[in-house]
Amino acid sequence: MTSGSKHVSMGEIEFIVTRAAFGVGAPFGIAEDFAETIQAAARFGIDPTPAALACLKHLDREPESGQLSVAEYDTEVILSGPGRLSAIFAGPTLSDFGHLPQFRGIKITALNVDYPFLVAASFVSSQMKSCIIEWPNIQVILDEQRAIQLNVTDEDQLQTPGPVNLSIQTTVTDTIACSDKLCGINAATKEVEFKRIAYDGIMVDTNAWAGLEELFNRCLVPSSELSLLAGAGAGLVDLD
Amino acid sequence: MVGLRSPERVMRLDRMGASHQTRLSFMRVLLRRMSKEAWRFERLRFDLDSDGYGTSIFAVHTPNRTYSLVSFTHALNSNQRTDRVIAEAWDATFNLFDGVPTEADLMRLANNTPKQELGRFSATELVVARANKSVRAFDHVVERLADGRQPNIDFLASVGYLMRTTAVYGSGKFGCADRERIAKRPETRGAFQVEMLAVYLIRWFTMELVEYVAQVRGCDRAVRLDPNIKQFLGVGNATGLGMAPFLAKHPILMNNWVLARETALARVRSLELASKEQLSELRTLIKRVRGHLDEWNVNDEIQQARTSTLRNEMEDYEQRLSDDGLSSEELPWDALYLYAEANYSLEGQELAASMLMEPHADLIDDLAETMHSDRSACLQPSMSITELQELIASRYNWGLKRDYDDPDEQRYFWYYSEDKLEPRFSDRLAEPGDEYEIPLAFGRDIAALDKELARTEPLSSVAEFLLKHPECRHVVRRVQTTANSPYSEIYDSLIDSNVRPIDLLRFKLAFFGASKFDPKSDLWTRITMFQGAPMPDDLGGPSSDNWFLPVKPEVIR
Repeated sequence: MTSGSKHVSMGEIEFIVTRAAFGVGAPFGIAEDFAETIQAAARFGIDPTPAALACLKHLDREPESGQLSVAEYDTEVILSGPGRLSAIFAGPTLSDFGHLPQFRGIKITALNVDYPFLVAASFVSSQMKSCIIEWPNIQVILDEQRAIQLNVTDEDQLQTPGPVNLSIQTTVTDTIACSDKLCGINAATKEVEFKRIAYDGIMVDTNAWAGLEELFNRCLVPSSELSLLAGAGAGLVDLD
Repeated sequence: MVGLRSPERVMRLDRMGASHQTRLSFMRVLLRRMSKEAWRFERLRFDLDSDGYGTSIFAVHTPNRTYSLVSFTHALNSNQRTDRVIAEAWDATFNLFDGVPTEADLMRLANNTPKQELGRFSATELVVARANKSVRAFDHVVERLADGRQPNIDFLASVGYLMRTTAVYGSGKFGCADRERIAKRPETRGAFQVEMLAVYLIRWFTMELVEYVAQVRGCDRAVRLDPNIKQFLGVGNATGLGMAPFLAKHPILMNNWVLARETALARVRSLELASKEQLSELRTLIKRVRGHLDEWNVNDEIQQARTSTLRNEMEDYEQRLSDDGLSSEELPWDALYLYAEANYSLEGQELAASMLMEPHADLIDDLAETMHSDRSACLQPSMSITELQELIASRYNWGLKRDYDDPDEQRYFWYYSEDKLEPRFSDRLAEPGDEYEIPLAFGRDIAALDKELARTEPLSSVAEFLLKHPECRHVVRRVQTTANSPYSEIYDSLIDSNVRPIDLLRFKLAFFGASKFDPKSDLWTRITMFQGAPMPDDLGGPSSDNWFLPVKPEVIR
């Protein structure tokens, strides 16, 4: 079935995605981060809702994908789980660790991430800077001024799902060298587009949005006669 | 310099529930800007049938851009008229449009605006709103004007408005423009300025509508509404539980509102002199305030008793203000405040505080520019557990000392109902669904966090803690985000057996500039907005900023 597109605001993304994530069992704070991640992804000018929905459904099917553990070695930190890692948990956790001073310059690797693009977007939304996020054929660089450099061999690959191993290298240098094997898409050139998205909202896939709303609906409490009559305080008809 | 009142004193539900408007309230701020910048108002379209049903566009031209209120008025069966979110039809539906809508925009809005939550909007729509008539007041005015007479002012004063908004949505709702679109514009960057503008234009539209219907009905006999009555009439609003999640979600914004108000009060109290002019203004004001209180009558027994006490207190305060020795007292404004604090109810104290700010435009009006916030919540993963514990200990004692094993401490929960996402509030033991409660129980959740922190290595980081305890993430972020914002938390539980959600509504509505609070239960209230505010034609005149708690006008019948 072909799907159309629909205009949504950033506020709607926040409201719906937070509760959709909560609806599949993510703790509220993680769900809030995931919504911000989807907003950040939307600002790239990419519709992130199909990936968001798929990622949420994965967590719903495999709740253990949210169980993360960390192993620290001399030169590397490895984040892993019992199976695939959900980006919903991996994104905020990796970005938390990327902020720790003791891990500056150390490579952090996450194994078997389900949606690596959403992890990268999580770094953007958490205001991370001076780091390189890499997975096969893709490199995302956030520089000291938080400008974003995206290097991909093919833009369509950006949202390709995993599982893949993803690494983060935080660095203290101001200038980041880009791999010349990849074609660069400098996000700075899209600044006008980012602003337009922030001002005008974004077009999203209708079916994906409907799927997010379905998960969101899990957080709604069924209406009973008691709550209908007394739960909101006001009368059902106003004689005024 | 007199210090600010402490958060422990100010951010208590009982005091918040006794809040009154001030000259920093958002409606006042908006009208001052309208007057100062000479905003121009224009009726661009008024295509109504003989019953007043149709499409209208009322525009306001600011120095930089134009905004338009697009109105659709409809016939409505009386059994469909409800203030609730679950309503499906209204007397009137509105958008505040960014610019002037084209015919194509109008066609699109005509297909969506009357559906409200079920419609879809675009980024050119800044606000979606709806309103119902106070049928008895609206019909009375139509009948009288059509008959060549003015309405009964006593009756109108008992209602206060002809139309009552039942929802005013902005900030990205249903596809509307996000806050980001307007956050940098000088006329809309202040808190709730587009929503207040929409309501102000709805008030103007309502006056035009009632006069139009009366004119159609009465033809040559019909008269216009007395300008003094127009100015006195506000626009009503019915407000329910949706305001509470907003306050909880925007702690920095709430802090900035309260900080501005408390700073204003502290500046006034610190003055060493009270001029004759200022005291004279205050003495004139209290006479009007006492008249207003006499006209503030509601069915709610709790509020009516409080208002009754307030009347007595303001009678006493007028005596205190008449003291000729006031101007020679040391820190006279502080003395006036402290007198109220020592002798009056919370309503009396807060009303006195509001009144004392009135004669001090030059001293405090600049604070209105600080009452917004676009700062988002921010987690600090590298903070140590010890630092986090210290933050909690310094600010959340009110939440830590409660016994959450006592069922009364967690009696209620807040949630969105499947009925049009209506926010509701229910007894945890009587209704299912508390696993999906809106996270408003910060005291409880931070107490749980504190217990977990006590079992954690003190020198480890928040990042390491959250790896093991992702369920604490939202409260860790809150503690860190609000650390330097003293008025960002309510120092009471929002879920215990004693909570009255109406206190939160009153607090927020007072910042809007509402008056005539008319609680219909502990969960919702009706209010009046812009009562006494100048109509568009009168802006810029001497009374443009002198409409704090107005009284009904003398009308020649």
